[in-house]
Amino acid sequence: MLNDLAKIYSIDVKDFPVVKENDILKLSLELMSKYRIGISVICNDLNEIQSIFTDGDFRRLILRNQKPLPALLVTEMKNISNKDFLSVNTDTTVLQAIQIMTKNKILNLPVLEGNKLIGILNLERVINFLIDNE
Amino acid sequence: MTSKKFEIGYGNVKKVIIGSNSPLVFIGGPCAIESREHALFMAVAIKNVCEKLEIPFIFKSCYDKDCRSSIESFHGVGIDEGLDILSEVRHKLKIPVVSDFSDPAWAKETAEVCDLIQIPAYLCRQTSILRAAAETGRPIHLKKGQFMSPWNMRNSVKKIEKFGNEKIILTDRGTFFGYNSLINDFRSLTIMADTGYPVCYDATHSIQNPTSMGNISGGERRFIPSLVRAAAAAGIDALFMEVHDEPPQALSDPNTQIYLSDIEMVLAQAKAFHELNQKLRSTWGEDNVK
Repeated sequence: MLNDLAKIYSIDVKDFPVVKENDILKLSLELMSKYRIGISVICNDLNEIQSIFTDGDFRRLILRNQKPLPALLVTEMKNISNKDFLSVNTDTTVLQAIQIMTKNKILNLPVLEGNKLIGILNLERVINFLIDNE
Repeated sequence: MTSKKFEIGYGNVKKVIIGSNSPLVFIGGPCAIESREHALFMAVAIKNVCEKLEIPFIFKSCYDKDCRSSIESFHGVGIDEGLDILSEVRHKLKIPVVSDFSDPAWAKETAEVCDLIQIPAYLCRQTSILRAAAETGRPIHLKKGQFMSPWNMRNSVKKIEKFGNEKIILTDRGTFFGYNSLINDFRSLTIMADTGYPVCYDATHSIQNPTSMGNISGGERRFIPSLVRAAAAAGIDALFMEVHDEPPQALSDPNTQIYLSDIEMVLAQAKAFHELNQKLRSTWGEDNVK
């Protein structure tokens, strides 16, 4: 399983948070709660990835934020999302993806085909698969 | 950041461009249309000042005053006569005009005459009002309610955009500061500008003390010049003031409308600060403080 392509185990785009850069923070948070995952991905109309926003990004945002909460909640994603993110492509194996995640202490990796978002590799899901197949 | 830019005016009036690096626009006139003669007199007088100072001008006066404190107060000449008078002002003076409306059913008729359509501050969130204004296709003068935070105006903007209109001017007319008092928080000009639309400062309502005199609003005109200078320095695309030749005799807002004899002084300074602001932006670039 570790040598399988990571994309096989990734969560499909329709089953996790994807938002537009003009969408507000509140929407990202609602979707992250709805799909019970710590990442939302900001894509354009062509489904090309622009940035991400994670639980960690939100924690760091809260610590530096000076706006009142009502103002923060309507802040557009383009103003707060993380353009400096890691991702994997369709050739990456599960083992390589896990190595990236553990080395960088991240739990979710966007899976891209070129610049297009095709899925999210979520570490918890990968571990479940590994344990189930043990 | 530079805002959206659009034109106000249809037919053969002198069209006004607002937004981005355009000259400061003045939207002004008597609070209420009191009579045909008075409206024409005021329009001519204000137009003359604006021509002298080379300030683009939109004449404002309302045909219905639904938000008076007291039932005894003047309610307006009504939509039919009011729009007829505004129409005459447009044709005789070739200037764009604006009036507000407080009933969605009046929007269409109002927009048939008015080049710009205004949404009363107290109604700035009402979906039916925003929809009616948006669907006229006219540029919209949206006043931020005294009770609204500036960032929440984004919601009203989104409603208007959803209804197919992207020509909006966002105006600050002061914010409630406890009972019967307003405060001017100029952060609102920056925050509302984040929507990408032009912003405006309403200098006469901003110095109002809402219903401070029991059954009518009070206000202190003496604060107008400094607040106008501050707003223009902060960055606005338009200035709004209600103007009357004899405010104490005015049928509405007697304590806040500015004397006709004072507008040249205020407008000249507003224009000077606006131009300085633009010059500084071109030297130093847009504000980008971390």
